[in-house]
Amino acid sequence: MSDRDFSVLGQSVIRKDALSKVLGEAKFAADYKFEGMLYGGVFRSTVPHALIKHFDASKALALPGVACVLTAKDIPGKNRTGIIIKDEPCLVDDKVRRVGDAIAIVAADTPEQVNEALDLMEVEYELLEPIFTVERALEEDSPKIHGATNVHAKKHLECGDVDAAFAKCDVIVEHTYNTSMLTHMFIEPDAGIARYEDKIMTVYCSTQNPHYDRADVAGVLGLPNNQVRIVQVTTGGGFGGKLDISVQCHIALLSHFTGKPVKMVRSRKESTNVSAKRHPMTMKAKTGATKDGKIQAVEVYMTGDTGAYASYGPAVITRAVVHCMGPYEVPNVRVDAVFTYTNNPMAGAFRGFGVPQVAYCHEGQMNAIAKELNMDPIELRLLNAHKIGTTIATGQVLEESVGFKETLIQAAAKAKEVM
Amino acid sequence: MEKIKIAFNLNDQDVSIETMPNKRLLDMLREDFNCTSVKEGCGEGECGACTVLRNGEPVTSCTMLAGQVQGERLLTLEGLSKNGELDILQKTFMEAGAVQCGFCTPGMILSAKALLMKNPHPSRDEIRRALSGNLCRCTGYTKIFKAVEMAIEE
Amino acid sequence: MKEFSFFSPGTLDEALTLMNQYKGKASVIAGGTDIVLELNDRSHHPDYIVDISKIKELRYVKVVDGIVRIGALSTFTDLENDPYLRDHVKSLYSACYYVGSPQIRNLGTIGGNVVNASVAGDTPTAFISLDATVVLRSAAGKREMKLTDFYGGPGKTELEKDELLTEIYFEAPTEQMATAYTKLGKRKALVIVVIGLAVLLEKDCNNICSKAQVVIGAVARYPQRLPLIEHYLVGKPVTKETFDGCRDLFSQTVYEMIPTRASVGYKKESVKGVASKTFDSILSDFSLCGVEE
Repeated sequence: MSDRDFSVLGQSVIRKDALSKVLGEAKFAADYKFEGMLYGGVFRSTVPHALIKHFDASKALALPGVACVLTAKDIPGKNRTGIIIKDEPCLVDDKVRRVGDAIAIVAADTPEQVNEALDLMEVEYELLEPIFTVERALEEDSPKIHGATNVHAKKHLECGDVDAAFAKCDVIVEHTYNTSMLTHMFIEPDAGIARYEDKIMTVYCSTQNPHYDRADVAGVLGLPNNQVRIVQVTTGGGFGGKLDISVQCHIALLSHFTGKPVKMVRSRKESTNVSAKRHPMTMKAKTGATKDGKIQAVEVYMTGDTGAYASYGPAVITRAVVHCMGPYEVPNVRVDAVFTYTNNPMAGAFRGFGVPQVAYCHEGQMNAIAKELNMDPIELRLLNAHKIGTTIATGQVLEESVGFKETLIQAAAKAKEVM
Repeated sequence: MEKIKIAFNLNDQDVSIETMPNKRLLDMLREDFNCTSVKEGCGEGECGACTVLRNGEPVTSCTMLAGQVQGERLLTLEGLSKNGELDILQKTFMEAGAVQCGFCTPGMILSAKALLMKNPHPSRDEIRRALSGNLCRCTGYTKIFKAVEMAIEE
Repeated sequence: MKEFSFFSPGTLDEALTLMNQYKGKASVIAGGTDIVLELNDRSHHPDYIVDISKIKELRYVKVVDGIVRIGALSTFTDLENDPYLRDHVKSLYSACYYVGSPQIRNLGTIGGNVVNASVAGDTPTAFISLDATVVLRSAAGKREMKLTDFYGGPGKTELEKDELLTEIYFEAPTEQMATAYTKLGKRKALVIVVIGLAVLLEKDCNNICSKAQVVIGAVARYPQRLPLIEHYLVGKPVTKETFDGCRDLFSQTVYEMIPTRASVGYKKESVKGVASKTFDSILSDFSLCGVEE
């Protein structure tokens, strides 16, 4: 390929958008302004699990400059959004499921008036037992966050004869791994501006998912998809955290109701409180090998906390299950996974979709086996590494482009230079 | 509350404004002067996206009140290129691939500019220290440092 | 941000007049790196803001008759760039060098750092190890007190509502003294202090420690002198062995200060490394300035 004269392939090319960015001219969502625009804000729950006994916005509505305060009953369409399971209310109707659930939205002439109005809203809760752990979520007598069960996804993966394989192993290691909740901390807090003109709702926003946004906005407004337009403007990082709906439905509702453009820019605090997180997971793993170092069997039971809403949880669980043996050949595998709802912050997509979590588990297990067998941990990995022709636990045959061994060999050589 | 009059120099032009005092420098620059290159990332002086140069020194405009710039000289990214000619840092940031999402870029370039105005030949460590108040989340520090080094060479 | 009236006096006298006039209703802004956050999130909403950042007469570092005097409006950057402090008061220099980011060091003032009385302030730890005195001015007059007497807890000081802190001063360290400050944080830059340790040590011509002022920050509610450690050091030879000998005492002291705090396990261990680093710097300074060991 090297003798071909490519204009882009193999060349360092300057990004198309680099010039506008180094000039400071690139417009992010918060940089947009429209004539006669209002500012929006969200009144959010301060408790994790509760019924709303009473909500009063009369003082807020009496403030000069306040155009409207909307609650769930003002929603013309469906009050449920979500990527895979539509389980998140745009505005709380039945109950609060996490700290930060949106209870009401307000539009006013200035950001300061929005803040004043939010200060004046009053809510009375009937507190419900909050669930903060997967263990409690799985107990029979625990309160149910959605419907009749707190389990929102379950997966089972099995191949070979796991029990027979363990019986023949010379070493077996069993460990439990916990990973923590992480936030993406994209540098640009969520923001957007909605404009309703000629029966077309246009939402300019910081997003990674304009087509999903369109369906949710259309659903909430009760409009057909062809009357909703989402414009993804220059977006300041996402890493999966801007796949979920943020301000889009709220500004669209306010704009729909007032007939004016409405802008909403989250503070860092609000963004961090309510954007999706990386699923915290617990992985209980059992790995067996014969004394030559060949991994014979892996058994994993994993749980994940998806928080108040499912978001990408049903996708994350699949990836976690499929990848939890790592890049190693394992002939006998049994994996069970359960993800539950809790009243914690919602977990969703985050670079790797569950794969980084299980990496702690399979790499920890490989180190433990190496130690048990007194083998070099790199050697152990090379011995078991995926290669072209490997059949993985799902039955897929890896037919091409399996670069793990070469990568590991080169990484080990590099590591020796510095260690 | 009384309005206040603030006169200062913005991007080589003398400007003045009568405004309510309860706003941050960041808000005044974005709303009243349309300098939207000045970004709000954290609102508490941690991320550096709102960096502007005050009398040649980088400061976070989210931790200053508008009224505090009376009589000062401010530079935002809008004022860096002169007569359509890009600043050397603007060129090297593009060439080094130091721009990804672009939200940290204005602050990053201004911090680098302040460094080069004071120290035309900084070491890698000096560059790192000068940019330590500007966070990049798309993992571009290596290329950003490279961009500053390319600007030194030119 | 709620509404307020804004004043930007150009002289100290004007500022003190305003503080007297709006006593209790006015808040002072200097660098702004803390108060603007509180104003912006509406947790603080005074009727009046007195911006003292334009008072040039309060921005100086000078050494007069063996006393180092620092104007309250000097920034961290000012102190970091001051050759005298860099060469002779390393503890204060280091405390400023590691504050926040370049942007914050260009804005934040020494007076603000002292008056804010944050548990996580860097310079107060260094100042207490230098046995510094604060100068407080009001329209009615002037008073002075040791910084150790100034603090009452997080955010609490002896500053009256109509007063401004105008200067902080301390005796210039002599040739027989060395100072050091070590900041432990989660990263190398842009970081809040987890443990700050400031030390001033004096030795006599026989290399025996004749004076020790040891202050730990970010452990108790405000920086604390550590009399047990100081007592241990005085009278002992200024050597690595002596310093190594007090590592466990540091650990025990930190444990006793915060026995129930979640961070105690980490802090009681890490303080040993912080102490070693600080004393290494002291030893290296003594050898550099040519005093015989």
